Amino acid sequence: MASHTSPVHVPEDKVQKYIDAAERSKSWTNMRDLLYYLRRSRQRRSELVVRYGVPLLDQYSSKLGSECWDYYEQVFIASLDGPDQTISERYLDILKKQFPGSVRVRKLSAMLCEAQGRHAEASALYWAILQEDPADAFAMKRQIATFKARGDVANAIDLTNTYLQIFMGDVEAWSELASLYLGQGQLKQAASCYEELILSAPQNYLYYLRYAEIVYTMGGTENFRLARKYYAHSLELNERNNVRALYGLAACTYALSSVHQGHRRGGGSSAPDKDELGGDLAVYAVERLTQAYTAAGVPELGRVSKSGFERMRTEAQKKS
Amino acid sequence: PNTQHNMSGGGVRLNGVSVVKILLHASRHSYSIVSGVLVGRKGGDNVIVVEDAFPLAHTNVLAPMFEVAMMQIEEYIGKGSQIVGYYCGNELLDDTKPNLITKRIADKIATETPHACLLMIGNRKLGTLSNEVVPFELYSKHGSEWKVSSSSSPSSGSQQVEITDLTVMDKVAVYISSTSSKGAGNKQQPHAPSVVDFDTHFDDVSKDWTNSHINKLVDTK
Repeated sequence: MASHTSPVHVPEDKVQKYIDAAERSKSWTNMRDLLYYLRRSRQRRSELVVRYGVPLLDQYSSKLGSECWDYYEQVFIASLDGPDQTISERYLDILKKQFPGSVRVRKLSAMLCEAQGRHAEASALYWAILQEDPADAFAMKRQIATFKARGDVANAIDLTNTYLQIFMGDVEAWSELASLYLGQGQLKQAASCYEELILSAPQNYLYYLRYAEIVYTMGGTENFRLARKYYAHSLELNERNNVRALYGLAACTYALSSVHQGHRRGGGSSAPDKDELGGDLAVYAVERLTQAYTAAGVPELGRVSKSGFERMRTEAQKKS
Repeated sequence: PNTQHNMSGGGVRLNGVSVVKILLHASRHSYSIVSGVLVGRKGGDNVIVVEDAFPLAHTNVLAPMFEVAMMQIEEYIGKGSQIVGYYCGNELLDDTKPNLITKRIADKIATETPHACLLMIGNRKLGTLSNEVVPFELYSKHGSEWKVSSSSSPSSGSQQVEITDLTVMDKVAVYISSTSSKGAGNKQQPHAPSVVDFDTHFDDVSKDWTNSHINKLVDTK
C-alpha cells in the first residue's frame, strides 16, 4: 500500500541515528526524516512511527504541505498495530474528508476493520473493491489476510493461488503460499513454490536453501541426496555467509549414513556414494563452521557445534 | 483421592529464567509463530521440572534446523539435564491449539523423553501479565494424540502448570511494555533484554542462542 519503490536497506545503526536525532531535538524535521526513512526502508517499526508521527502530524502538519497525506497514511497504518485505535479513527476521518470516495482510503477503512477484528466486514469491503477492479493486487492480498486471520487456511491458499496466476512474479506471495502449505504440513506443495522461485531467480542462494530444507524434511534417501545437492549449490552461490547451507550439508551426510545403516540388513536402496560412506562433505562443513564461529568471535559456540557433530558421527556409526 | 488421568501426571513446574525467555521470545516476534525447547529434569510425583528454555524459531520449523538445534542443545546442557518438552505460541491471537508441525515435533521429543510436555502460550494472556495468571496451557500425550491436560481438582492443591517464581511476571510485563509505543525511545524504561533463537543465530552466528545473559539477569535479579 505504501510506496511501490523497492525497499532501501537501512542498517539498524542508521535508524538509531534518526531516533537519537528526533529524541534529542524533537524538531519536526528530525521526526519527519525518521518517518520518511522508515517508510522507504519498509521496516515494520510501528511503535516508533506512532511515537514520533502523532506529534509530527498533530502539531506540524501544515509544515509538511501536500506531503502530509503520505504521513497520515503511514501513521494510520502503524497505529493499527498498537492498542490505541482512537488515533487510527481520527486520522482515517481526516483522510476521508480530504479524499472522499477514494478507493485507496476505502482500503484503509477496511484495514481498520481488520485491526478491530471485524474480518467479515473487512472481507466484504475488499470484495466490493475487487468487483470494481478484479486486478487490484492490494485488495486481493488483504482479502487473503482476512482468511488467514479467521483461521481459514483453505481459502487463503485458494485465493493466493488465484493471485499468483495473475501476478506470478510476486516472490513474496510465493513465499507466503509456501508458508501456508508448511503450516498445513503439505511439504510437496510448499516445495513446488520454491521451484517456481528458483526458476524466477536462479542466482538467489536463499531459494535453494529453503528448497533443500523442505525436501530434507520430507525425508528418505532420494530426498536427502536432493537436499544435499541444493545445499551445495546454495553454498556455491553464497560462500561467505551461509551457515545454514553448511549445517545442512553436514546434516544430510549423517541422515544418509543413518538411512544406509538401516538399509544394510534389508539390502534396500541404491548403493551409497563415496560421501555417504566417508562423510567428507560433513568434515568439510564442520571445519568451515568452526572457522565461521571463530571469525564471529564466539569460538565457544563453535566448540558446542563441533562436539555435537562428533557425537552425531559416532552415533551414526554405532548403528551399523 | 486425586486420580491422574494423563501421562504427564504431575504437571509442569517452570522456573523464572525459562518463563522470562519464553515470554520475551513471544513478545519479540509477536507477528509470527514462535517455538522453543524446554530443558530440565523429572521431579518427584511425575512432575516435569523445567530449568531453562532454548528459543528455536519464529518461522515454521523444518527438520534440518530442528535436528541441528537439538544436537547443540543436548551437547550444551550435558548429562545433568535433559530435553523435557516443547513450547509454542501461534501466530493468531485466539489460536492456542498446536498445529500439525508442532505436534510432529512434540512427537519427536516424546520419543526421546517419555512424558515430555507440550506447552502452548495463551496469547491473549500476554496482554495482561500478572503474578496471578499462568499464561500457558499444558498438552500431554494420550496414546497417539496430544490433549489438553485437565486441571486437577481444587482439593488436590496442585496446578497443571506452576511457575516457581511468579515475581518474574512483573519484570517481564515491564520489559514487554518497554517495546510498546509509549515505551519506545524512552530511555528511562529498562530495555527488554534481547532474546536469540536459532533462526536468528543461523543468520548471524555471533548471536548467542544460549541467551546466557538472561540467565545472569534473572539469577542476580
